[in-house]
Amino acid sequence: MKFKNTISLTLICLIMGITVAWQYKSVYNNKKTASVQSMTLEDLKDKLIIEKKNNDELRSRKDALDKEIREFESAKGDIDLYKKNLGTEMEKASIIAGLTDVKGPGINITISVKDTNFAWIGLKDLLTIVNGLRAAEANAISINDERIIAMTEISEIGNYIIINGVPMGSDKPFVIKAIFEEPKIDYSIKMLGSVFTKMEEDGYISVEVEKLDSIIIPKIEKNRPSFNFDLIKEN
Amino acid sequence: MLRKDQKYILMFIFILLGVLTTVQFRSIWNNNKNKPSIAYEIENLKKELEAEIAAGNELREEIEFNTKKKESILKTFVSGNDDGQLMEQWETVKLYAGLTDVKGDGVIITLNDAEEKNPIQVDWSLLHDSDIYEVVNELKKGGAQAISINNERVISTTEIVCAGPTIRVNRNRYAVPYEIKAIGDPKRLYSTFIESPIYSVLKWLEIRIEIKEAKDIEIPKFNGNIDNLVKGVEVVEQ
Repeated sequence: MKFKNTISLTLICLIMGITVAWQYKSVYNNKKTASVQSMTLEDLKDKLIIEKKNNDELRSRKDALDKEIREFESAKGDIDLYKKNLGTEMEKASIIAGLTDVKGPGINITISVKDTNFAWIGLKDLLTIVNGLRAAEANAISINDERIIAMTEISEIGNYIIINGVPMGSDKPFVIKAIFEEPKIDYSIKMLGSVFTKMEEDGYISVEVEKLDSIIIPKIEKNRPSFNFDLIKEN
Repeated sequence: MLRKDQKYILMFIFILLGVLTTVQFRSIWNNNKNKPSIAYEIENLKKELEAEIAAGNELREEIEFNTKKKESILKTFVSGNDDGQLMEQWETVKLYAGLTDVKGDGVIITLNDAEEKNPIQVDWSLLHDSDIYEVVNELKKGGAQAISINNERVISTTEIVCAGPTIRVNRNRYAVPYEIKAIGDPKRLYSTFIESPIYSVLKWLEIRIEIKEAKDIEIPKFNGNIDNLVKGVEVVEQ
């Protein structure tokens, strides 16, 4: 009798043990899938917001274009309208290509080395600043009055930084100018702040940022190597 | 009658049984409550996202179509007026600004995160924005005349910044792998890149990197809204 009791109790305990383990695993798995699902959920929501924003912008672009075409069609033969329109388009493209001197509100950054015997301005400092300005939505940039266009290279040889093929002594101060849409200036200064703080913390470079209501950025000179399109076949 | 110690064992078993039943019950109840609703929501969001993407593509096509229409209207009326000089000038400026699709020989670089996590620092096995813009700068040094990153044309305002696991180029996000195309002298582009410090660094970090020369690479025009790129900028009359 006692033997039988022991056997049955052992059996019950064994079954219970297995069930508990099983149950535990199932609950754990459920939790895991739930968290994965909520992650994809958040991800999807983010993507949806971005797409919607993009589409809103596309829609307004399309509307503006539609309006222009309607105007074009109703003004058949009015050469002046076409020319005026082409003129504005050409002006926008020239700004982007860097073909004209431009002015506007912006910032003037001067970076210089504290002790020219031990330090110099590096290629990476300049690349980081230029990319940071672009990220902050600068619309025109120059370094030491060399306009930064699409194919402008920044390289380093010995004690020189070379921009648009023009050598500049890397122990001299560099003046970087950028034009922004007015409301974006403060944001850009804040955004670049961390980059500048890091440069200053390294101890070799001092950075001065000046906010200006109007700065002038010169056009690209056409003899620069970055302004060369002879290998492009148009599609 | 059961013996006293057997009673304790039974009591213990029943306590466990009780807890088990409660946990089981609650878990099933929660599952039934959450699972279908989350799955349902995900399903809905996916559909909505697909619809938005489709709408976006349609809008892009319409914009493309209307831009061409506008160009052809301009061409018809303006060309006849001054022997097509103005129109020719317009085409040239567009080419300089990166507003035309272009074709030419050059190189194609593909970049992807390292296959295995770097044992020293996990961060090192991933591509960063600085890696990409340094690679792009090397191509510019090598005399590139047009560059694109995942078919996003690099123009004067093109930023390359990290945004979580993706990078933002021309205000659009892209994930790995990155395909960088450059038109120029293929030999010069190739050797400039292979000899650059950034190439050695990325190779050393086991970032997957490939460069090949190619003929007739097609690089699309800048596809964003150019009105956003000229805000605040005024042309100085000369």
